[in-house]
Amino acid sequence: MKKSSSNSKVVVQLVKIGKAFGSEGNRRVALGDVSFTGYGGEVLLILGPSGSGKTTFLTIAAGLQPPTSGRVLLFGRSLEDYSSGELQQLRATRFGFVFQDFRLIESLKVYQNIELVLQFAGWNRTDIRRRIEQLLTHYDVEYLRNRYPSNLSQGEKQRIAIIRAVANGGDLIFADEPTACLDTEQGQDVIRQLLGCSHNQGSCVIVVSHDIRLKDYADRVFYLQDGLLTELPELRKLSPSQKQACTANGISHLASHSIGKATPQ
Amino acid sequence: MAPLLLILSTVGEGNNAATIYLAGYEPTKGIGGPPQLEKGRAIISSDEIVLDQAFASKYGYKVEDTVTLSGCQLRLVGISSGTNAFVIQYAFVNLERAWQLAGYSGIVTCFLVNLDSSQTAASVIGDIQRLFPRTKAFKHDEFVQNNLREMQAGFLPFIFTLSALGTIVLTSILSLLLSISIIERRRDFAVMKALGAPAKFLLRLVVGQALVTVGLGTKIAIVFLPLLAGLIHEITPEVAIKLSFLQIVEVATGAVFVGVVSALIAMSRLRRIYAMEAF
Repeated sequence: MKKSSSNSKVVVQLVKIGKAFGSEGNRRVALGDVSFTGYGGEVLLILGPSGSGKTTFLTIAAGLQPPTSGRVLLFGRSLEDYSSGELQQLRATRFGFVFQDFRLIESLKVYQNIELVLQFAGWNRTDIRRRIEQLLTHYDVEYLRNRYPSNLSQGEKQRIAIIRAVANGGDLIFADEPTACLDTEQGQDVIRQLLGCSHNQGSCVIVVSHDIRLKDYADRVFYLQDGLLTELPELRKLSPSQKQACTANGISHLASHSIGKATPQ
Repeated sequence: MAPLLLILSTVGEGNNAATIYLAGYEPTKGIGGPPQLEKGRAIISSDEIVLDQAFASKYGYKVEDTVTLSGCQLRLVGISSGTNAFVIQYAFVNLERAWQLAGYSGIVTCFLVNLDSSQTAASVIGDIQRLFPRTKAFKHDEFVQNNLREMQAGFLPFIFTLSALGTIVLTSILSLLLSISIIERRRDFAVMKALGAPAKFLLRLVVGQALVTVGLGTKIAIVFLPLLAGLIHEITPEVAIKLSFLQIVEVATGAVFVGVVSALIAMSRLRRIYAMEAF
């Protein structure tokens, strides 16, 4: 499953990123010297316990907030070089987001939720209609087209959230705890869809989660704790019993003992 | 040519006394009397009076009632319209009765001149001013315009001030409502920003909501206008509400302006919502 990144395009690069919150006397470091590279066509999983800085990492990588130190490069261009209008355009045309708790617009029907991102991306009416048909058919959810989010199950909501994230055919998809509200089967379904999107569309999918069950589907797995990011290259080589023993809290132990030394990017 | 005397007078007695603008004219001349009669007839003799309909309605006078005018008992023979100047109304009596009430005979405020077909207004005005150099003569339209200008000078600033205050209050309320709506949907706006919603799209969304609100408000106002106008006229007969199609269009345009300004004010709330809040 793991893909070689040598011949793939770099879509996002974080170079020695630091992020701290609070004033001088009450400073809290969320990220410290994090480096990371994401390539097109791979699924990257950032594991870590609650409060470890996963969402901060994701929002910095998406250019939604600036880092305190270091550089973010999106599609080879430094974040500072983008104007706010260009960043908005980038989000509309080349990014996709899967939010925790789905964040579908409750006052809009399913097809309107999808239509919205395509409008933002500047698609014309005919293409929007065609694309929505294609997506609803592909994900087998045509029957949900005219339903409001309040009438959807958790699994259906998540499916629509993923459709919304991939609708514009973006190169970079950010997923924040995409399986948090789902059972195992639904969670696996979600990650399979993200995987499919990554491999078919050539997108780089960055998933932050504390759900260790997702590790089998990722091309690369990272562990984030206390603001430090560590790649876990050997995680998939663990025996089934070791994997079973592996929990969100226990992976910290694995990172420092089973895998060996931390490997900064 | 018909002489006309205009004086202030009092109708009623004691606590019911009200000031009225009394026009004394010669009924036989055919001009100078009430422009339009809603009920009854014009005066014939000096013991008769015609009252404006707003005044009659306000003080409960009906045709055939006895009206006390500055102590004289007169018979109400007609109710006129087009004689309501909002703050004061007109009444019409015989010129001799007006002289008696004024305490001077032979005085007039002005003369009304009807031209026959062989004369032009300009030539008659020229003749009058040559014969009576200190006299001012006006054409009918000029006279009406002068009166309107005088009324508007005293009245319109008051209406404009009220309208301006109303507009400010309406704009404040609407921008507050829109701000509350934005705050209630804060998460949705944050999500839209994260998904790359252009600023123009969000502006259109808020302006659209404002326009729907003012559009609905204007529609309700138009539907209830006849009822409201009737109610106001019932409470204050001197206030007559009449709206033309053009005035309705003007009000609707004003409402659209209020909507757009309110939306722009509420947009400041939207600017303080960040894409980050979607996470």
